[in-house]
Amino acid sequence: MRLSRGAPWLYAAPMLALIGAVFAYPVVTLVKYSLENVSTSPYVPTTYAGLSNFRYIFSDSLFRTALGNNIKLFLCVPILAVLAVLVSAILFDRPRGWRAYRTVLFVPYILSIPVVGVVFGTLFQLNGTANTILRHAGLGALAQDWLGSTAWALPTIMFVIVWKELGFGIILCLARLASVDEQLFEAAKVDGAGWWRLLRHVTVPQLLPALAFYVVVELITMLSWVFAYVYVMTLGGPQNSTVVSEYYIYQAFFQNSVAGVGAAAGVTLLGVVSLFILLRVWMGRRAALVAYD
Amino acid sequence: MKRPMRTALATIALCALAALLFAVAATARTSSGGLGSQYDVSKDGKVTLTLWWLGDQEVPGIEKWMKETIAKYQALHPNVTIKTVIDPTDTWTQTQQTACKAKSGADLWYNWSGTWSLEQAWSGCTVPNEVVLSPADISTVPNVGETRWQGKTWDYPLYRFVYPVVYNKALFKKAGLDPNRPPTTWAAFLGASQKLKASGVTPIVVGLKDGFGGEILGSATFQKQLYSSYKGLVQMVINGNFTSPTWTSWITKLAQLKPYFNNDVNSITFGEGLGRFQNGTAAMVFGTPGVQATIADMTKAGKQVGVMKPPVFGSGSYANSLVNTGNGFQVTSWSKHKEVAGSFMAFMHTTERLNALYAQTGNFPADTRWNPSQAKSATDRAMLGWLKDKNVNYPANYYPTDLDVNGNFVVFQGILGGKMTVAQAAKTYQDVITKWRKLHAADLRNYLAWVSSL
Repeated sequence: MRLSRGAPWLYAAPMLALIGAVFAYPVVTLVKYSLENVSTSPYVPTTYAGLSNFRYIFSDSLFRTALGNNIKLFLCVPILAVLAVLVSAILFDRPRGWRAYRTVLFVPYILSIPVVGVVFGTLFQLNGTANTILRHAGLGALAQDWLGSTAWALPTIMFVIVWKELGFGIILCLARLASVDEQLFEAAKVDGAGWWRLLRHVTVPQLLPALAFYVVVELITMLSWVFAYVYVMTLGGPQNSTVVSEYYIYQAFFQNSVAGVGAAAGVTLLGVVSLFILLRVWMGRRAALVAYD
Repeated sequence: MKRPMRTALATIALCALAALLFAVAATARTSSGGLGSQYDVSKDGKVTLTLWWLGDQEVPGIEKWMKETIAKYQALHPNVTIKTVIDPTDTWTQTQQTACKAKSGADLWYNWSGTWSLEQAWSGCTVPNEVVLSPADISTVPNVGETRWQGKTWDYPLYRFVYPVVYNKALFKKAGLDPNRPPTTWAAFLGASQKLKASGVTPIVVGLKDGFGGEILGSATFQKQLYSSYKGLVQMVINGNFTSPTWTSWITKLAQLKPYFNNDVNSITFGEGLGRFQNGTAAMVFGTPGVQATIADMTKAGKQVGVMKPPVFGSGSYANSLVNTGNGFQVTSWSKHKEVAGSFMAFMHTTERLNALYAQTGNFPADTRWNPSQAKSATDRAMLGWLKDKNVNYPANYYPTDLDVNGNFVVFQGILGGKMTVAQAAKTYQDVITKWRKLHAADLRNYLAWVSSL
């Protein structure tokens, strides 16, 4: 029996409608808002604004600072990738207690960000635990106002993000390594490859598909999933030095009641993230080709 | 002649009868249709009111008081049921805007004074007090003046937040200062801070990580000193220059005070700063809403605490004053039971309820029907005396939130916790207001109308 050409679409229609309602409607509304002076009241009309909201955000130094901070957060990604590869390679050799290490390293990833934020917020106060330990160890000169100075606040947040996100990378890499044919490693060892050479010529190439996924997911995280860290640890301060684009959007919507401006920033962010998603798809295909070649 | 005469007499009699009927009808309307405390709720049939507010987040202990108040009101008016919904403070304004857009949700809601309430009024989301309360209900609440716009008032304050400087008498004594005569002038305040520092304690503590400390200090201690009326401040929002020597003068004073604050202002929250004052590691703190409860807790713990007005440096008549703000309720424009909501608002202001409010929360009721002789502590009596002298309101309620969040928050973190200069601070305010003016043309028109109402 042959199905008519429209039949698959008919069967898929309920799911397409659901996806449309869940994803398309908010996105279309966001784009619509970004082109409007959105009124907060039914008694005051919403007016068409054209591209003025976009012109505004790109002329706003705070938005530029926010985007700049997102880009600085990208520095976390290579650090995460390198650490994930190294730690997973070590754990893959099953040193004594490797199961415990694996669990301990994954725990930060499952902790909620507000809890992590509050704990590190206290730890990194000028007179907090971290600096107290440094002072007692005779390293008082290294003590900084980690979250209270414009110079250190963002790097401190980056440290916390790396601490929390690393577990995900390690588990991804370990899962990938577990599916690699053991003979590859054995053959390299028979050929006299040491740990470092094994890592460089066998482990890393085999990890590429997982790494490609991890890198792009983390890039997206640095762009659009860091609000909670900033909100809990610094509220964008001091002096707006840790404002990221999500926090800018939050301020526009919730504090300044300019939904059009917030939406324009949201559309910009969505555009950039979409590019990263395309990059992820492309990198995933390329990495798979390299790994399985 | 007789016939026209009779006709004229009949016409006069008819007119007199009509006038009498009109007068009777008018009298009947007044007695059964007055507003607020005079409103006859029974004629509305079964009514359910929904009240949105922030509860204990704003004033610890007030939820219990509200529960009691509702029970008493419902007992008095069995046809009325009042439901309360507690919302989060962070997203409060957005919650109100969403409700307004849908024209559903609350019949009455809590709001802060000044721009917070007026923005809802400007959006058409609320009705003025005059539509739901009697003139007598309004005349006893001086803080309604904070929302006077176009001849009406737009928020009905229930209690007053006060912003004194609170100090630890034992630490004053240790530093060789007279604990019963705190400094009143700027020079004396700097001198006292110096002595306190020399005695080994932190003279003033504040936490600016969450920003609010910047708003409270800036608004209640520094900015008010420039003014004798907030007309000037609202005018600043409209077209003023925030880099002018007048505005910059208070930032210069703030910079002078920097050496006397704790060294970690940016890494602790306002609450953590308050905690340090409470545990006796700092001599002074700039008071905040709920200061009465802080003082009561410390007194219970055996600490002797005093209050003072912020030291005077400015030449405005508001300089020598204790700043306060009255926060309360607004009735929404879509409520089907506006008059009943007004009646409940008036009930919250009955003397018995006001006395209970003070007894249960320690906050000063915002109504002259509350007798200040209820106050027992010396600090409360002192603050009430200053409030009686002058009703000076909270300056941050007269400018947009943006100027607060990206102005006050940033400048205080920069000056007290960073390396920001006075000129950079002034420029920060100017940049923020320039951006705000560009984005809020409609609000700017409302500010213009507001200036003429002040």
